[in-house]
Amino acid sequence: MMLVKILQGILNFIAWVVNSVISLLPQSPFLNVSSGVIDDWLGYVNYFVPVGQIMAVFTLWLSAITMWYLYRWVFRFVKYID
Amino acid sequence: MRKFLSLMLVVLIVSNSILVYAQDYTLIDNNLGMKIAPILIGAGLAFSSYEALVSATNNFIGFISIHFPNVYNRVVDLVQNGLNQITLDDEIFSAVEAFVQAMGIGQVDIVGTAHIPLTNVFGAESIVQQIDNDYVVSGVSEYYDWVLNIPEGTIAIVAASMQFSGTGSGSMELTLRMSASGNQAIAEKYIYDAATLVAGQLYNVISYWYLKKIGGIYYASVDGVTWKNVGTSVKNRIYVLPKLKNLYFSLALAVATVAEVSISIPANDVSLEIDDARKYREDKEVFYIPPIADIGELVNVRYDHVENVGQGGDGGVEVPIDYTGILQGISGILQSILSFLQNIFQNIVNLLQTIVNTMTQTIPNLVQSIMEGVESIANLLTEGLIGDIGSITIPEIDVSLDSKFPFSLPWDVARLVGIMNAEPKPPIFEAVLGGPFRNASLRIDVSEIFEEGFMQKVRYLELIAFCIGLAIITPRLIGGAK
Repeated sequence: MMLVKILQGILNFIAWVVNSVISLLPQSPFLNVSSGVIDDWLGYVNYFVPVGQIMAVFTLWLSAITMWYLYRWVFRFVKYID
Repeated sequence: MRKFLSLMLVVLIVSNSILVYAQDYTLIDNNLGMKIAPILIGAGLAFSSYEALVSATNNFIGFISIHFPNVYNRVVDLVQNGLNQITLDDEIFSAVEAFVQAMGIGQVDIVGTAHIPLTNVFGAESIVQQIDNDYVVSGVSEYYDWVLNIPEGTIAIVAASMQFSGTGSGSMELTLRMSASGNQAIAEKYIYDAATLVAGQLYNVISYWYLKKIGGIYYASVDGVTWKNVGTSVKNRIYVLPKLKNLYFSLALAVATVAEVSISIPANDVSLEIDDARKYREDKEVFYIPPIADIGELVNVRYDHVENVGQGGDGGVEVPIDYTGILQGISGILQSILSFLQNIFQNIVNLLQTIVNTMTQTIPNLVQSIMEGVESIANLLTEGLIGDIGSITIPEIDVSLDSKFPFSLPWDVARLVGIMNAEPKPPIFEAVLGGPFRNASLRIDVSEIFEEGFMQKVRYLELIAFCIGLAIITPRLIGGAK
């Protein structure tokens, strides 16, 4: 009974610390970026260059490369252990 | 310890196997041996002890060799001296009679013809001839009716080559009659017609029919006499025992059967009996050899009660080896070993039983107590010290990470991409030209310059070019294609 209460208290303390630390962090500067001003110009640019599609492909490609590095790190770690 | 137990187990199995084998070996027909015993004595064999006799009889497995070293010279002397009468030794009869009486195995009834001089045994017409230094006794007697009335259970010894008159077969007839009447016949291998020197008609009758059926072969040999090739009529396949041997052998065997009946085995001129024998064989295919009558408790009678038994004969006596004593000794030793090992194993079994009983009664209680103790400790820990683990709750994190820098960067990127993914639209440029152009307005609509299909193809080509560029730089990033 005693140990369960202690453990619950520890978890509550950790949650309080995390909430406190995160609440101290600043808001994202890109959070309020609006496309209103440049929306027309982005449309014009997209008329000549498919920026949206390129970004989508790039994002997908970047995810693949990230996964590659992640797997390579795991494999190297396993090899190191071996 | 394990090796010791394995060794003892192997010794136990081996000794037990040998013991069983020894016991089986000594279980040769005792009754047959006791039947043979008077025959052996009557034939002149002497035994040093009762055990030797029992051994000789018990180990009778179908072939007994009796040696008559002096009979040849004795008969030759008799013949050369012109004697026409040969008598059997009285001591042989005495020995047989004493044995039979001591053993109580039957009434000594030496009938008629067997207990008379030789000339009478073989009838009045018996003669002694000399053929190539062998002596042939030939004669005719009336035995046919007697053979028909042979008592059941009689052991008959058919001589090796009974001398026959004409083409008949006395021993042949005797053998056949006895077998057919439910008696046991013991026959020698060859039958030979002394008068005609023709053995072809009978030579294989006993050899091929009875040899494997009868209870045994009673064989006698005589020093100084050799086998003789009979002649061309049987294509050298038949060998005849010396006539002297046949004579004495026949007499000895005849006397030997006095345990139940005395048999004289003269010859007879009955040619048709050959056909009868063949017919019998063809009809029956095999001959019936019944078991010898049971003598029972006679086996236990001591030979010590008999005095001066078997001291006759011709002087040359072969004493059989007493295997019984050896086997009994081996059996005793093996029995001792077996008993010793059985005691050891019994003690081991008792010890193991005690241990097992202790374990089966004590260990469960002990385990039960331990389990109860563990359960009490577990209850104390879970309820008193630890408490209910299921009551623990995970506290929530109230702040969202997608808005707090720098944790919000992935979400920021996603938002920027979404902003840049605006709907493409053709630009329209409008301007007012002043001065020399008198404020004329200028309007350039790109969609009017390029058709939509054309710009769409251009965007596709640009996207493909971008993908190709990614494909080119990818190997550099992942370290391949060097």
